[in-house]
Amino acid sequence: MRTLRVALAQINATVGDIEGNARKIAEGIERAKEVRADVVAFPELAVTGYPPEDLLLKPHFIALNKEAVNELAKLVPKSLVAVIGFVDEDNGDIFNAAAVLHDGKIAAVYHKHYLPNYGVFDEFRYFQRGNEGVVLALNDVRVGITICEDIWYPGGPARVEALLGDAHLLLNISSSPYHMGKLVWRERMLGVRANDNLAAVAYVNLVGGQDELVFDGASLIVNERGKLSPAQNNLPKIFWSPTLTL
Amino acid sequence: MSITRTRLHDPRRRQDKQELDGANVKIVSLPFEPAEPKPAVEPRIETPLPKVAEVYWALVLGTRDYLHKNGMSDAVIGLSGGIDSSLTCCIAVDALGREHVTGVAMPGPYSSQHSLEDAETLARNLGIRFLVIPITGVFEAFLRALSEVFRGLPPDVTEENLQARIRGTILMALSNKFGWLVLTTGNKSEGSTGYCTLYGDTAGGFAVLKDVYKTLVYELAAYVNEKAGREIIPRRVFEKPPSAELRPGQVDQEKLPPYPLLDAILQAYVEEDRSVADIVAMGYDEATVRKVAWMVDSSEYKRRQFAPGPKITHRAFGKDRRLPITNRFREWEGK
Repeated sequence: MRTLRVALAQINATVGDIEGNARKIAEGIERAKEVRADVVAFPELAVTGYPPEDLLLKPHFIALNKEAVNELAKLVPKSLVAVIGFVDEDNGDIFNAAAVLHDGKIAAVYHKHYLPNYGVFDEFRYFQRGNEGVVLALNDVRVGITICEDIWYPGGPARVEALLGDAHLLLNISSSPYHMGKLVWRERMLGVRANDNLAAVAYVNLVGGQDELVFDGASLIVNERGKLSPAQNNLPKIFWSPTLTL
Repeated sequence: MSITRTRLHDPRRRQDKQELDGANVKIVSLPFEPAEPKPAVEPRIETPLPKVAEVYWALVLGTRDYLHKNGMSDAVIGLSGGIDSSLTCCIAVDALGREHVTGVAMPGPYSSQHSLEDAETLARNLGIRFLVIPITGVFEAFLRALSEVFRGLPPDVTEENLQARIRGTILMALSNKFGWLVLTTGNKSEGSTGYCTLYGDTAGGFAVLKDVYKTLVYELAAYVNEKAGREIIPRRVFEKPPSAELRPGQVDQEKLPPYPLLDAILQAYVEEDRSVADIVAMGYDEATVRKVAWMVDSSEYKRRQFAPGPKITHRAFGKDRRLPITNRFREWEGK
C-alpha cells in the first residue's frame, strides 16, 4: 500500500519580508518534522510574498530570495520533502517557481507554465514560462508539482505529470485571491481535475491580506474520485492531513 | 480502492496517454527515507461559511493585515449613525480589537438627532473610544470666508461637499496627531455612481467597503448582530432611509435609484460588462439604466483617487476593472 503524509503549510506571508517569510517557512518545516510528514508544501511565492509586483525587477531582491531558499534547504532532512514557492532566475529570465528541498539540497525546481495576466494578475510582465513537468519519485509514490494557474487547465502540466509521469498525487502550490463564491468553484475544479487524472490533489493556498487582495487559504486534499479529504480553513494556521492512501 | 487499481479499471487513462506526444516531464528520484512511525494527527474537514459570513471575515482579514503589515495598530472612523460607517466600525473592531478603534461623530447643521444617538449607541455597544466634534462652527467660518466670492449665488452641492470635506479634514488631523489610520466608509454602490465627495468622505487610508454593494452592506450588518447574539448596530440604523444629511431633508434616493435596483444594474454594467441595450432587455427601465451607466462612466476620475480596499467580488475597481478616465465611448447618450 502506497502511503504519504502531506502537510499543507498555509502561511500568511508578507510581500517583501523575505526574512520573516523564511522564518515562517522554517517553522513550518519544524512542525512537519514533528508530525513526521513526508511532504510539506508552502504557497506560491511564499518566500517573496504574493504578488511582489515590480520588486521582481530588482535583481538584488531576486538574489536575496534565492539565498533564503538555499538556507532553508539546510533544514530539510532525508525524511522530508519541502516544496516552496520562490522566484528562480536563469540566464536573465525569472520564473515563478517551486523549489523541492530534500536532504539539505535543492533537489529539483519546477517553473510555472501558465502565467495569468487577467484581472488582478500581471505575471507576463515579469516571468518567463516553464515547459517541463516535474514528478518526484519518493520510493513507490510519485508526486507531480504544479503552481496555481497550472492546475486550472484541464490539459496542462498536471495532466502530463499524471499521465506520462505516473504521478499519484498532484501537488499544487497557490496564491489564489478570494472573491465571493470562489471557494466552492475552486473546490469543484480541483475535484474534477483529480477525477479526470485519476490522481489525488493536494492544494495549498496563501492566507492573508495584501493591499487590495485577500487570500483565503482554504487549502485542501481530494482523493482520485474528487472527494474531499480532511482539509483546512481560512485561518493562518498550519494543518496536517492524515496519511493518504494512494 | 488504490489509485493504481482505479487506473486499471478506468480505460480513459490508457486512451489519453496516447495523445500526449511531445509533452515534457522530468522524473526526479529522491533518496527518500520516511520517518516512522507516524504519530496520530487529527483529521478535519471545515464546513464552508455561508456567503455573508465568508465576506465579513475576508473584510476583517484584509483590514487587519493592511494595518498590521504596514506597521499600524489603530484606526479612526467617522460615525454618521448610518449603516456604512456602523459596519465599517464593527469590522475594524474585529480586525484590530476595540481598544484600537476610535469612532468620531461630527454633527453638522443638517444632522438629525437620531444620527448622533445611533453613533453613540454603536460606540457604546462596541466599547470603543467615542469622540464628538461638531462641524457647524467650522462650516460657518468657511461660508464667511467664501461669502464675498459666492455673493448672490444659491447654495448647491458646493456647500454639501464642504461639510464632507471638513469632516475629512478633521479625521486626517486626528490621524496625524495620534497615528490612527482613517478608514473610509463608502460602499461599491456609491463608488460606482460617484455618489461621494472627493477629499471628503473618500479621504482616508483604507476603504473597507469599497467592493461591497449597499444591499450586501445591509446583509453584513445583520450578520454582525446575529453573530453577537444581540443588537450591536441599532435597529433604527437598518430602518431609516439612507441619507448623507448634507442639506435639509436629503435622502440618497433623490439622486440614486432604490439600492436593490441600482445594485442589480451595477452588477450587469460594472461586473459583467453588459451593454445598456442588454440591461434594458433584462427588464430594467431604460432611463434608469442610461442614468446609472452615465454615473458610472463619468465618475472614473473619482475612483482613481480612492483609497485601496479589499476585493471581494470577481470584479473590483482598481487593478481588476481598468477603464479610461478620458473616454468618449458613451453608450448612455443614445443616438
